Amino acid sequence: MTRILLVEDNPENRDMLSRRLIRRGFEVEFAEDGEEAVRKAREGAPALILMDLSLPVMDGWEATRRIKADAATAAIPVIALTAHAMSSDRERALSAGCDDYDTKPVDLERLLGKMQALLPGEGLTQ
Amino acid sequence: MSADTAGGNGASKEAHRLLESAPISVVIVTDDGRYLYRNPAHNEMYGYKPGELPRRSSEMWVDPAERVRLLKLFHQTGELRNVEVQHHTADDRTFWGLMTWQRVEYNGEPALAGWMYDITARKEAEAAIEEARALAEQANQTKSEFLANMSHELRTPLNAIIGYAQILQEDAEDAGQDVMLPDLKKIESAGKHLLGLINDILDLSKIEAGRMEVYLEPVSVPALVDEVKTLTAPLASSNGNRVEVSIDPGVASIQTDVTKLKQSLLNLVSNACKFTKDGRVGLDVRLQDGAEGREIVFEVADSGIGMTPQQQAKLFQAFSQADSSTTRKFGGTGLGLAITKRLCNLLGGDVKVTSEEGKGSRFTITLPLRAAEVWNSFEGPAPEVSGPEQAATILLIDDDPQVHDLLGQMLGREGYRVEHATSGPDALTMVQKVRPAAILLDIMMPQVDGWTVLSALKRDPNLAAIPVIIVSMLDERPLGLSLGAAEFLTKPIDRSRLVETVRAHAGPATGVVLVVDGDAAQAAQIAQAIAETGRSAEAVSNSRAALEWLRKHARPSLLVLDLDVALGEDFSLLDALRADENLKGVHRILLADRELTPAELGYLSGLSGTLVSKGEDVAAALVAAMGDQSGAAA
Repeated sequence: MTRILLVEDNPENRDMLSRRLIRRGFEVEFAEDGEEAVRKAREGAPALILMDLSLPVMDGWEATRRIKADAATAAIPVIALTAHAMSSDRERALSAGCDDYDTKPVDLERLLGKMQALLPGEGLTQ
Repeated sequence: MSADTAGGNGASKEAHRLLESAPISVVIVTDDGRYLYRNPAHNEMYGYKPGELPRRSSEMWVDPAERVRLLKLFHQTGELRNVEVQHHTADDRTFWGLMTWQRVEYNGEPALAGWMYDITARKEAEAAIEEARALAEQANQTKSEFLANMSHELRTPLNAIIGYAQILQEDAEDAGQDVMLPDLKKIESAGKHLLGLINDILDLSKIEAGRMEVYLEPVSVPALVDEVKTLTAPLASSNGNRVEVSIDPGVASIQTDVTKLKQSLLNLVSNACKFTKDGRVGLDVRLQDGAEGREIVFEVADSGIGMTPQQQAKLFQAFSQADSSTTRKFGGTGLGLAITKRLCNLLGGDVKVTSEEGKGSRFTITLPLRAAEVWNSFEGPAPEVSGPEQAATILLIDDDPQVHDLLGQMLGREGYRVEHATSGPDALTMVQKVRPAAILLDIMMPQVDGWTVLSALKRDPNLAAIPVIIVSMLDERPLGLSLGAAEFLTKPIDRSRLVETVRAHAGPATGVVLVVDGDAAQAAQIAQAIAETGRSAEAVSNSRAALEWLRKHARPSLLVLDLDVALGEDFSLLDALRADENLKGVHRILLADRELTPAELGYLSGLSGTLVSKGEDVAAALVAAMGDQSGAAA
């Protein structure tokens, strides 16, 4: 089963997105802030990370930079998710090392498409 | 008026009458302020009752600190010309006077003559305008911030509404409760509609507040058009439309902001699909010669319901769908075209429409092939300056916006303040204004190339000292250095090499502290103490040397001035510094070794700066004050 790390501080968003991903056959692990994300990326070795950008403790940009700077986690694809649908956020996310970018509210089909493009070989389990 | 009037020895009666009936105040006083002559307009302006004749000139009627400043100015330049001064009158009014004072000879003795107009009405009008402007600016700022925050606050709960509506639909499908689906679908689509509105309003308010930023990058037109076609395919097929795309073979890549162009095209194509049933929507892309060079044209034509001329006239205004029933019937926010037009304008182009009711509409977006070329012609989006106020400034001259973006980020990360110029002529104007610590110069630019800019810089004695680092595709190092460049770097730029070179020639990003103290030894000692805190400092020991230093160097990050040099006996360095636009925002620390007079305190109160007493350990006190100041600035 493909394991995804969902980094999101808002409990409702976490609940919604994880339920829908689980329904599609993913295993979902959570982190609620950037620091936890960096730690769980290393410990849990997820297949892909969905990263909210405005996070407490350490924001998503910084967390992504650390994940991409660490040889152990650098290869894990990161998709940034943010409510700020501004092109400057897109630039910032990509320059922090995110592999792709999507805006909230999540359009599940679109997001799944982006995830599939980044997941190595196995694709979706559905 | 008796013996001490201007009608005295030698002056004609006519001249005297002219003075007596003049509508402006005329006075003649001795050097120590005794009146020799005052005309009636003067008495009236100052509110003297008939027969009430003070012996001294107007000193009691002007704010003491202002008076000190004016006297200094007078002694410095030998006159005062058209100075605006606020006065208090004998009968407790205030008025503004436009004042001129000159040295004259009166009855064979040296004297001072003063002329003054009452400009109170003008000053009051100016103040009212300024106040209204400040209020309007503040209100606009508040509005923009409110909208930005509000939209975020609104989106968060909407997110949950839309998301849970979707989850419930999926749950209902799984549980076979299809009867609930239509209602859940309505919650979702109403939520999405509201979200669209909020996003549109936010976009519009950002554009109108001048806060929409433009990111230029090479964009593949065929790929973009393909994406637009894919994204609008569901909407097109739901109305039975076919979307036909044609791209001229010459069209490849353009320099533009992909997000904004995509949003504009999506708006036009989805509108066309929305207002057309079982018809054709065409998206044609071609190049053409416009008045200002090559242009790219995106034409979206449909065979839909079309519009009357009246409907077309207000099409691009906010909240003006053809009529409100349109919104009910076809959906949408009514803001899409208003936003599209503003986005196209932001990209240096425009959007136009032709339409016939019942036959269809044709929308045409025209953009310059290289948006970068119009980049400078409008305000707002160009990244004019970045980096902290106090930091050393680097002027970046390059015609390629990507280079600005890249090098700007590299230098910004090091703490430098970066100013951007995209052409040679712009650069030469800006360099006078910003006086950078170093210049990064591209060679291959259209019209005026980097060599020309370099030799113009080196020819100007005031600019020749600014180090110029050439950043070019071609390795022409010997030529560059022989023309006066400090260093030559080839593209692609190696980040650490760039930073190292800039630091070597521009000094540290924190900038230089200039110390001015009449005691050269003390100046050097203070500079040494500052240097020990990790900032670089230079010392000079008089006003002239200070001005000379400022003329030749980049703007310092901080000025440390000895009080007596700063106020000067016959020349106020502070006044000279205050007049220098380039020093705006540079903090001043004044070192005082005596009590200040009330007049001096009054004079200083108008300046932004910190006062430090010279105690036992000047350097330590100063470093402490500097810490406060840099803390406040951060």
